[in-house]
Amino acid sequence: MNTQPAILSPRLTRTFMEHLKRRSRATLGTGRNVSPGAARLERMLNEALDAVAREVRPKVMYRMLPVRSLTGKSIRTDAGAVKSVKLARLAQNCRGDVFVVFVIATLGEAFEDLYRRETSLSGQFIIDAVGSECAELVTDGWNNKWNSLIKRRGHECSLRFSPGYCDWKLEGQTVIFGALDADAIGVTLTKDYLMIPAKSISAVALAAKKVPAAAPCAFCRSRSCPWRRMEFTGVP
Amino acid sequence: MTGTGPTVERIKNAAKSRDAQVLEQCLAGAAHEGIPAMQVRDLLFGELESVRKRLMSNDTSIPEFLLTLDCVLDGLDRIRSYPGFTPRVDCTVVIGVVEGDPHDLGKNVIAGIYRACGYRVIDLGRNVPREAFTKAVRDEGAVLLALSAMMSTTMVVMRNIIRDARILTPAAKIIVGGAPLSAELARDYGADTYAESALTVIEKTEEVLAR
Repeated sequence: MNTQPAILSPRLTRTFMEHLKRRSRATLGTGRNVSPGAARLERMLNEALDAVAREVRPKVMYRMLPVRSLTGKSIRTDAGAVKSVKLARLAQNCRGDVFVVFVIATLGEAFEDLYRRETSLSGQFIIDAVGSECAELVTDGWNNKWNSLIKRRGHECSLRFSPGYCDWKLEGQTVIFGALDADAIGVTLTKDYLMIPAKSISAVALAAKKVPAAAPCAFCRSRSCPWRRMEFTGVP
Repeated sequence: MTGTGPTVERIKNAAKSRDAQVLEQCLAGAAHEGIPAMQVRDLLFGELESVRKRLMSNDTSIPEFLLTLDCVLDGLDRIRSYPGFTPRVDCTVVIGVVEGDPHDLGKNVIAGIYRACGYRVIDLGRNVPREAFTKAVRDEGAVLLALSAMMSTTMVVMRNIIRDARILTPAAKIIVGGAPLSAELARDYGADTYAESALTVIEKTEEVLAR
């Protein structure tokens, strides 16, 4: 399995932009065409989408590393340890050699410029929402490609996990940034573990011959968790 | 004197339709017809209040509210120089996002709401060093310090800023807000109050300034 870092430059195709528009509308709660500002908001959304398509060039960097050791509390790789009991439990129940894939996706400085150029509050809100959705979709796109690649090699892959969610502290950013030279795609980490540019996503996913569940939610009993991504199944 | 003619109706309608360009024309007409600036100010504020209440009852969306806010701010900027204009309140607020935090959208919205409600706003921006807050409160004679943080890793510096403010600018009240905060954390940090959203920030502010 390849462990060298790779960089992708995904294109914002027409299909991607249409999907982004739908997602942005849903996030913004607009597009129902019943409110006094509906036409204006739709125009602003279209302008924001046009600007993103014209100026933003997303980058994705990823790398897969083998798991060196597993404890009940962490997953150790050559880049450092992913300290999450929930994720470690998922890794412990994978079959065959287990790998961690590290990924950072960013909309880059061009998006920050777009946001900074916008002076109205409604415009800032719209462009910010479009940026958040765009970063998610870019990462989803990588995720889909990665899953297909892994599948072709006879492996399975979990969903992606980001530091700051579930029981993985934000400090976990240092492991991802230890695995990837994010400078190569223009992303830096602040001392407070925030990524600059802000519209960036960092995550890990597990890969193995058999991954028992897409997410540790499958065996987590915290039913009120707002980030639950799948039902409790009791697996493993 | 109070204007009641078609221009007043047009101002109301322009504000309702969130159309800043039409509003600009109406305001020019209002000045020409001698409609009091205070009446226009109250009309604009009334529309903002109405949309805020609709948003609180989920009858409109956040972008609609912000569109109204933009329109009202634009209108207020235009009538500020009209004879007889005075702001609704005579208070200065210092606002900023704490050091290490680049997220300023929430702070920008709150600053906009303060301005629309008549407060004089000193906006320090984002990633503001600790000392800059108390310096601005002292230099500008602010009665309120509003602190924003969007991350759990950056909100902790609020405690130090609040400690500084209690010593250096004890008369100023302190309000905090941002995604990772809660009323309990705000109390723990020593703030006077916590605003959970842009919709409640003015009520919380008025409440704390009245104490």
